Amino acid sequence: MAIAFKWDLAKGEDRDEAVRRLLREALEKGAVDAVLVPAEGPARTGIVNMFTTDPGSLDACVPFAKAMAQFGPQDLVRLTEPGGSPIRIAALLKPCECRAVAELAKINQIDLEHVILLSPDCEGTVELKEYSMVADGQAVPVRNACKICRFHVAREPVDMAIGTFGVKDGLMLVTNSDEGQAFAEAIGAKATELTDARKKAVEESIEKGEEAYGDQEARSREKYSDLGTFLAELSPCIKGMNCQNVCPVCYCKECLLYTDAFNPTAGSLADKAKRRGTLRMPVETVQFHLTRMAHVMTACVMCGQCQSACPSDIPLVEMYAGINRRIQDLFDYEAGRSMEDEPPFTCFSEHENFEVVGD
Amino acid sequence: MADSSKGKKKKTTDDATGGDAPKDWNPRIVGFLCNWCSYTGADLAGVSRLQYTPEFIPIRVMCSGSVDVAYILKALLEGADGVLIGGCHLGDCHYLNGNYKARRRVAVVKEVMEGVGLDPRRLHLEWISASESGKFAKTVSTFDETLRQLGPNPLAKERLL
Ligand code: SF4
Ligand code: FES
Repeated sequence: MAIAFKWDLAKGEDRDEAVRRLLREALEKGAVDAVLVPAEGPARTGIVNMFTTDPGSLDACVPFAKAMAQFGPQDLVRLTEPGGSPIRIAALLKPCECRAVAELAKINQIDLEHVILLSPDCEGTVELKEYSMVADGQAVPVRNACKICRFHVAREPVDMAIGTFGVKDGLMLVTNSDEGQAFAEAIGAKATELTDARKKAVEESIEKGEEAYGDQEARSREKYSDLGTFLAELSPCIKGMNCQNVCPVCYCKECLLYTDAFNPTAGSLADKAKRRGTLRMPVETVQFHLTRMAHVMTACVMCGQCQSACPSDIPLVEMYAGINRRIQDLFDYEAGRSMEDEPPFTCFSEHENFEVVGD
Repeated sequence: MADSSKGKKKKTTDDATGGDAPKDWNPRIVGFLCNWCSYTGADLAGVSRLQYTPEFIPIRVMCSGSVDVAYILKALLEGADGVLIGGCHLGDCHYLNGNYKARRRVAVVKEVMEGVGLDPRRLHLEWISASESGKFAKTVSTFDETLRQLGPNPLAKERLL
């Protein structure tokens, strides 16, 4: 059950400053030992994630940043690795990052026991390299992934959504867990009612997102019904594998694609070339993309970090939009929706069918 | 949990290239066959002298559940016109539930194939026991027929993949 709290703006404060104050309180009052938050890098030309135990450093933090640093969820993998003495961390991440965190936690890559997940409502993010323009106050269109994002507001696995949608004055802290509630109380937030205006604004944002996603899904289905389009768009792929490296839900320590099976030796390359006549070098570029699609699509949160990291501007978000929801729908699954749903590749049901046998 | 009525989407992708098939073209099929059932079924089909296409390339695997999606895709990218996965009947898997997992994977790969413009009918999953040599031969022949209608795998003529 969601329980709401109020966080008023102090005089002269904007929303970013109000959240900074919230985080300072959390550190000073000992609600957590450290925070992981987005912050402006030197010269305000980019957004980076900042991990700090020092309330004084929070001045650089930009809770509602219009850009998203890479690797937030992966940072939590590292920060909660077994072995170290556990510290309590408040992690403030975008809703899509939080959904990735939930996916990773379900497969034991992140230990959420000492983590409080905070997520401000998100109006979309621009490419990191465009952040300085936004910081200067220019209007820059949000990334493709954000245009078709369905969940601008954090979902249930997040301990506390920092609500602005449908909230007139100040912020509404919507907690989804006992830990979130205890955190809100520890920082001195006052309980309040979840207003109808808030509920309505959240519903509307989901509806709008669904519509945008649906439109893109239809366009993608149409566009990629011809294999030539997909292959043509992969021509400029340099196989630098940035998309995979930044993918928040791609987690194997040892990737199959790095094994010998997909990295042939000189001898087998020569054999292969003899057999096929010609090879693209480095080999297995399309293989890499197709395998990635099949491996991660059940957990993909459509954050678009892959496309943002691509030096060749391959429209990965567009490609994935055609299959993401369809694949998750097969299993009545939605990445990051709930901690209860089992990841599709870790379970099965005897009664399912998919009509793929003898098809 | 998904039930059987769920999750079925109509196929939209048809990569048929049937028109450009060379005269002497025969569909090439890569078969991942479970050691405990379909592979033995295939063996029995051979011993029983059942007829099916000679362009069938069997690969023995320990369980249908051990076939990673990467290998299904690799077979297609290497130019196979179709991929057959043969597993034990449900309830008969040597490792209890490998075939249930294979079924989920196949469902995902078919969606991926469709999503990039490859006809999902190029991937075929079937439960074939060690004694079902007839079912094995018939499955391969029917699959061969389907692939003839679809024509050569369009990836086979692409060199720079
Ligand atoms: S995908 Fe959604 S949650 Fe993620 S940055 Fe974009 S708008 Fe925000
Ligand atoms: S052992 Fe045959 S399918 Fe698992």
